[in-house]
Amino acid sequence: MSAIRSKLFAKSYIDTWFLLIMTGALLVAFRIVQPGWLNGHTVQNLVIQNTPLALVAMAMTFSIISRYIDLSPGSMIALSGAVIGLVYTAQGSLALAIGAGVGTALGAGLLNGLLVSVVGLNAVMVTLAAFIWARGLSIGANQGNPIDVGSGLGTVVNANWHGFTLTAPVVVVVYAGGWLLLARTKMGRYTYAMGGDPTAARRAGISTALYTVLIFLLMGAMIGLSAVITVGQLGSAQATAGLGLELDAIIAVVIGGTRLAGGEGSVGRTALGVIFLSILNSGLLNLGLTDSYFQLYRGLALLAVLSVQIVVRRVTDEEERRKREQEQLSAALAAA
Amino acid sequence: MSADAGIAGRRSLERAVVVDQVRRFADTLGIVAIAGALLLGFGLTSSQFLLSGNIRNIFVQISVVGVAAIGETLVMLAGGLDLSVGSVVLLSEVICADLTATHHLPLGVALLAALGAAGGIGLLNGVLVAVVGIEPILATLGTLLVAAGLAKLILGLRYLQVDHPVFNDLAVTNVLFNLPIMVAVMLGLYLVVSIAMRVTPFGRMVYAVGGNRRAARLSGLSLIGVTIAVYVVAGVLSGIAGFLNVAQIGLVSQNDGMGLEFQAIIAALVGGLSVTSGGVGRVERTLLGALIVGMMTNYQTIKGIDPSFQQAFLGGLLVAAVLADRVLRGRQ
Amino acid sequence: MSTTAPPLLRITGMTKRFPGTLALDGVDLVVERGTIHGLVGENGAGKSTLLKVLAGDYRPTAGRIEIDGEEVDVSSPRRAHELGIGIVYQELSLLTNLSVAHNISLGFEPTNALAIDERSLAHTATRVLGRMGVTSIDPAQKVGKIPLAERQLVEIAKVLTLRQPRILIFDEPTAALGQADVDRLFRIVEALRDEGVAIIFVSHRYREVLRICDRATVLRNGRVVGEVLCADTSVGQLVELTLGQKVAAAFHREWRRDEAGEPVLELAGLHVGSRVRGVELTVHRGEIVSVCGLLGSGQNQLARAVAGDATDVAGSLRVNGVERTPRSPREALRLGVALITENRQEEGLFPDMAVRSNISIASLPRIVVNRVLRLIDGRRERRLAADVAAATGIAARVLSRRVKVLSGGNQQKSLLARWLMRRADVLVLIEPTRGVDVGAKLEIYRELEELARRGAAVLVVSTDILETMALSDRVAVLYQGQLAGIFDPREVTEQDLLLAMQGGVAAPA
Repeated sequence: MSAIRSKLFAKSYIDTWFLLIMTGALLVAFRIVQPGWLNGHTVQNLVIQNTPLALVAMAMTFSIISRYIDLSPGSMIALSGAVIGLVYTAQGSLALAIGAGVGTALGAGLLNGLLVSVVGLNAVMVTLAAFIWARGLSIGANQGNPIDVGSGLGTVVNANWHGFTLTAPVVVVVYAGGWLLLARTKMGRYTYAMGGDPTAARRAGISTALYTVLIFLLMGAMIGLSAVITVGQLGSAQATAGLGLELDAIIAVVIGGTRLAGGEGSVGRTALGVIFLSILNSGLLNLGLTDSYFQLYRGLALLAVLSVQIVVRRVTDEEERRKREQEQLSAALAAA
Repeated sequence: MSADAGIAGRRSLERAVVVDQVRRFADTLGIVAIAGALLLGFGLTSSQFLLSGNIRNIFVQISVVGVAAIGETLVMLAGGLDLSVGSVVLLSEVICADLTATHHLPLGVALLAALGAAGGIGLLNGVLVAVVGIEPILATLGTLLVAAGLAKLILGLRYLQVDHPVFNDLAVTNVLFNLPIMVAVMLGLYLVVSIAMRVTPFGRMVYAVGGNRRAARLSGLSLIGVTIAVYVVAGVLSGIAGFLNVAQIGLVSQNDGMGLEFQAIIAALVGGLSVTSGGVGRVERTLLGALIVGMMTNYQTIKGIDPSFQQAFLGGLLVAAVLADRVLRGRQ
Repeated sequence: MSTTAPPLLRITGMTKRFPGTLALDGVDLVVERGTIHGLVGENGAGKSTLLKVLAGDYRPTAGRIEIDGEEVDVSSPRRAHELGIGIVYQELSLLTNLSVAHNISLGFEPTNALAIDERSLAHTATRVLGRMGVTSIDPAQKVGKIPLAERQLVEIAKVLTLRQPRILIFDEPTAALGQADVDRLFRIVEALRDEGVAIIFVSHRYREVLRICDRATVLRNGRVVGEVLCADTSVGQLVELTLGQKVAAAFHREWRRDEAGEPVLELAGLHVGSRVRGVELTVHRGEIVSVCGLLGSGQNQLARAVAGDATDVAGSLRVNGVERTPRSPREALRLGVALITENRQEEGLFPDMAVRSNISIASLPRIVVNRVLRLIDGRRERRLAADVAAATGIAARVLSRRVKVLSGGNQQKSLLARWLMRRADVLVLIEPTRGVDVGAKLEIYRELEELARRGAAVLVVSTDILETMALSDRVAVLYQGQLAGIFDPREVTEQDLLLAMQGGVAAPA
């Protein structure tokens, strides 16, 4: 029992505690300013609206741990959606449309993955390019107008059970699966390996190209799923879908405690980050702030959290290192 | 004994030198050739393209991005990234327009205030990245939101129309080959900064920090100082870009400057800035990059291609530029 | 040993070219099964490159590899594993963020359906470590948290998990190990040999090579210059083959300071974390002092601390009488202390900048003209650069080239030139001749002597004992972070130093 206790309070979890405290503080603050804000209805809305963020952030965890960053999700969701809309309009089959949409997302993931791992291009630039061209294509699909997909999909996606939709269990399943994948399988282990020391990973015989592509495909799958959900929720494909989502996802992962430098992190931490960010965004929106204040506060909150996170890390890293050196010192003295 | 230790050593040095020089030559030649080929190709396939009025248009269109791209180039040369450029441009525009049109303050004061604010955001960027230690992507993302928020706060919901004689002058009065003053300002800035990068200690230090951070530190350079300096310069240049944008359009709206940082990054990369090797690239080549992108965009507009597809093309161009960099310079 | 069966490993005409260097030039190597074959040569001779080609890490430019008479293409590290080739890397390839057990089985984890079978993994680790006779390492511990000597043992354990090892390569496996661990390692290697494995053993400790190997191949400048039967060879003969000239004709000091030189660098009770404890050392003007020890003994940390590149430094440090511990390289340089590290690529050179710019980068205030505008004076820069280039043996015509095309020797000299231009009082160098050919090595030694003659105090960290003894006025030996003794190289032997490095006691000077 005390082993569990000392683990929970270990220095490496300071990040998590900090985040939990911040989230609690947020909730309290928002409640004070707008009492009655947090009720069953708003929580349901929170989950429904932030499902794409949650899904993408899960995959983004893998990307960031393996030292890559993916800037394409937001635009790609819009493009996937547009494909769904176009195929539905042309063929009338929802199944075909969904297949095409998900296929687009997976295909783009494959393309980006190959460009990064086999050709050796910089991931930021490749995914930035996708961010640009995917958005362009999705706007161009219908001159910026929404593409209607009928009501079939909506009945599934929006099906209600006590206010919660299908998306809640989907998120739970995805996160459980993602956690298993990262913590217990080879793919997860190799994600950490590639991010920790790419050279050592290669020398151990790990096929970094294969696993990198798999990580991009995982993102593609999440993008496809999010596109289907988004299109279903609105009944049409919007050219502005997913605007700013990738950056939110990156923020969620980083705020959750995964370092951008790679090699460490976890799906659980990302979950916390997503919760924090969702509450922040929803709460600010709910305050009825104009766009300007919204952006301003979000920017300041983001910078503040990141700064504190870094300072806290520096202090705990120092202490950990010092403690380890002491241990090694006494071990050396004992051996002498 | 010679410094190259024998014939085998000399031969491999010579070969390495030749390979290196051929690569660099191909680099420069390549981009000029591309620009030339585009000029030729576009001119042949469109009767409108080579009209002097159109050429003038191209230069005017790229002026704002061009100036912003100078700053982005410097930041990227030093190993960083600045995503706040668009928002800083907007902020500068708003301050300029608001102070002159709404409060009727003299233009000089407005410009000073705008540049001050822009430089301030740059300073914030530099401090966050160099002192606090936040990754440039995240730090400049945060300042992007802050700057955009501030700008929209001042702007409110309106469209600010600006009708100041100096602004009109900048955009209309032609000096230098039938090109307006604002274009001359852009070209002048490129000239000044390019030269500065070659003959000032600051220029050397930027290349050193970008080329090998640890070596720069061990050589006694102040990483913090250089980093903050490039972000401040980038901020001020974005401020100037905003000023020019007001001159060009005469109208300030909420969405100005959106996506400008990406256009600046593309201009720099097309111009040969390397992402595989740090500290490789020249400011003047970003101008070439901006011109190439400008020509392509202009041509597409003439041919009636939808702006959204033009955007898609831009994304593809980015991939091509990074691919070329990889081919020319090899894996990092 | 049958003479009709093909050798287990035959390498013919192996060539590997990198931009700017020819690392291997037609190397032939034959290793019979059940033998231990040594590979010897100084830094930069091509040993590591040959090994990496064999292990699938590098692709050869030309050449053949035959295993058991069949030509093979070792196209990747995974293919090497499949072929039964295992390698213990000199620079450890461990993942610090993963546990010991995971590192040992990296790439070949046993799975239970989709998930990794953690229990089987732990079992493998315990088994392998047990076989090595190692009981002090906890397989669940993260590699980032264990000391260097233990990490080297884990790296060795990795190779023992091969199902059917046929060819095993050990690249400097004893660099960080104490005597007990070295003996243990030798027992393991000999046991493997007895099982019929072909073993390639690389070490710059010639005594070890002669002790454990049957035959040895000597590489110099990427070529094979000799192959010997270890039982019939002496250390001296090996050294002669390696350097290409008689030891006696190698470097000799031509000038030494007279005893009246004042102290420039004074360390008293210097601590650097737990890596360096209570070191007391003085370097005088005109003196070259070397610090040596086993890998991980603290000599690198000591050197970096003196030059402002370490944290957690306590104790007294004086430069030219000024008592201050520099907290950054910038501060150290203000005190007059400059550092050249062992990684000139990662920490010294600016690859795409010209040699001249590389040299002047630390002296920008000196080449600036016009106090108001502060512009670089091109002519002044060229003149100063030419001066220091002449003093360090860099040909004038390479000054405009980009430094990445230069040979290792010239690159190292550029760094020397940088600090000469800066007029550093104290020059700290870590492994100054690593990856440098013999001719340039001798020139660098001579230049260091010249720098000392001009009044600098030189502190050198080196694992090359022969180099150390030839070059230095005094040699300080560190063992487990503490000073084991300060010796006069003219009055002790190589054995005395080695003994001190491994913790034994020798009579100090």
